[in-house]
Amino acid sequence: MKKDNIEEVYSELGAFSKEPPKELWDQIESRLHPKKKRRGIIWFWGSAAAILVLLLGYIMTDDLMPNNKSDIKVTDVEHAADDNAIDESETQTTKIDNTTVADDIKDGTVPKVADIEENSSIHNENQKQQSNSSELLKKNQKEHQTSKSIYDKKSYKKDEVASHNKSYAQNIEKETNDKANNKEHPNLQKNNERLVQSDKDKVIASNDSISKNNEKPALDLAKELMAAAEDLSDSTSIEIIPSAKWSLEVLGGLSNMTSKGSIENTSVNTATQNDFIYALKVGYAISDRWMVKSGVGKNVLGQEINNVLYATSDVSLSENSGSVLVNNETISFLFSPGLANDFSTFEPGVDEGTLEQQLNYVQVPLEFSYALLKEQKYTVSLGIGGNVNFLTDNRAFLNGNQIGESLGVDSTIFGATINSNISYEFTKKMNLFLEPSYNYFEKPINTNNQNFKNAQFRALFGIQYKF
Amino acid sequence: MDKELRILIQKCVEKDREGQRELYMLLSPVMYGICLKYMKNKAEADDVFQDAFVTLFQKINQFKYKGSFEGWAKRIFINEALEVLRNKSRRLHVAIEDSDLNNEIEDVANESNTVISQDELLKHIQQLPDNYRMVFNLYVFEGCDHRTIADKLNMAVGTSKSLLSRAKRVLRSNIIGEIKEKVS
Repeated sequence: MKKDNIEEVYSELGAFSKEPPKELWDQIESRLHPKKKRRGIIWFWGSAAAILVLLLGYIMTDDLMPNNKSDIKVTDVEHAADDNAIDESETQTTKIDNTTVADDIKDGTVPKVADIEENSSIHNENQKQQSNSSELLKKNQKEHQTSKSIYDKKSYKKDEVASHNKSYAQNIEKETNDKANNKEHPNLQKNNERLVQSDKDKVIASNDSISKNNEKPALDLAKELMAAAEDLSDSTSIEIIPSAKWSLEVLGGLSNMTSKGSIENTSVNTATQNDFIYALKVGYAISDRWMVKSGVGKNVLGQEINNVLYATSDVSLSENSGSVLVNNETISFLFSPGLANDFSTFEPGVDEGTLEQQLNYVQVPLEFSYALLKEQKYTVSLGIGGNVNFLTDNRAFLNGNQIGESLGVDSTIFGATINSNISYEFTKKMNLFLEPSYNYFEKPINTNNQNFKNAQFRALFGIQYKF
Repeated sequence: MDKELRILIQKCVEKDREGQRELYMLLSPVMYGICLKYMKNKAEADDVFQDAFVTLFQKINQFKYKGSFEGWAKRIFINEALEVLRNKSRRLHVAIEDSDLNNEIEDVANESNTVISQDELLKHIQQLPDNYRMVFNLYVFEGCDHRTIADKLNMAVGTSKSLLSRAKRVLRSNIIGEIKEKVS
């Protein structure tokens, strides 16, 4: 064995390959996707974000919520029959809420559970079919690749042999020319013949080497070279698939509103209100984790005041003794503690009822959200922002009957929001998400007679389309 | 680079499990071969193979689509193997034993036609001391020159040359021994 033959012997191992044991992939996969831990992290961050929002909301709402007991003392301090009246009123409110939800289901506003399940099963079936056809497609592509690879290898070998043959032909031509020249220069003839013979030997040796290479299945030099050449040509036309920057969101859900209000500087007993709201938002990804969103949506504010005393114009009240809250001059609301004392018993024309002030707005939000956690399918984000609300509708109801519009309502009010967003990648382009949020609005009604502040919880469900 | 490979890489960037499996199936035979060539035995090769594949998937977003992806992946595996071997030699202070290099090398050129399988060739590489094996692999399989090898392994150029020469002598000796055994 000659000294450097060892390199030649080992060149055979240049493209040495061997199938690894199957269990190695399982171990690699378990390191890449630690199952339990990953799910744990999602739930941990998701829960943490939701708890944070709820906690903040609770702290702020607790501050806003009127103290019912003290309110009762003020408004109903002298009425022995109050307890029964309050109970009845609360029962009525609950009934109305339940009826509203039941009506929604009847109207088809809220989808039935059976419908959702049916749609879900159809969707799953479609996904299975898509998955099957995708597998078939992949199989075909692999077969095509294999045959292409074999064809490419053969072509390359052919080219290489052709190149050597061409070189050999050139040498033959050179030999002929040299012979002609050597007739005139006989002294050089022998040298030229020797050189040409040497070239011939090299070409033959080279062809032999190529034939040997063809017999070695393990060597895949041609493939390497082809790949390198292909890479070079590709380098000018690299096409990196960009991730979607824009998104469109459609959201809908319930808002639960509480308010802290006062009339004539006297706190009033308010009840929470539930409304259906919706929005359309457009988002832009500033970076991998930050996103800015804006859009338009429906917002409902207002308050429901229980156990208000009101007097009609039939009653002979002294001037300025009642508060005019709505643009209906025939009704005065009695909130001053002094006045309340004067009406320790129901006088003719003085009644107790529920005043509902409802304000509808078009809301334009501006929010920034940060993705706390980004997993393969789940994303948990925390958002903060502000919004401008433009008044579109203003109505006041007394015991369910519309009596006019509330007075002193600002046509534009500002609000602040903090939210968490838990989204699931339904398809590559579409996410489903749940967005609980806490919102605060400053003084929708602000007059000398009355002012109140609204706090609002929202639980919105939505679909996000990425483009 | 073909479009399918690019899509596959993109899937791995997005940590798509199926994409990762497909890329593994595509690369694993060649990369496992590298690990076997660089490491002393199968157990060590398995460890390096796993670590390098995890590194590959973690760093795949750093691939800039310039040059061969397979070349990029090979560098990760070779670097991982070299790192393990360097740490090992630091830890154990393995002395290079030259005793078996003093055997006289016989000229058995006529016997070179005797068939030696790839597995046997691999076995002889694995039996080399770590330093020999690293230099030999980088020089013969990766085509590195002695300057590059010296930089990679933090040694003098002369040491690299010397280690290569010794590695070849050991391999030659062992292979001749094996051929003789087969012939007899």
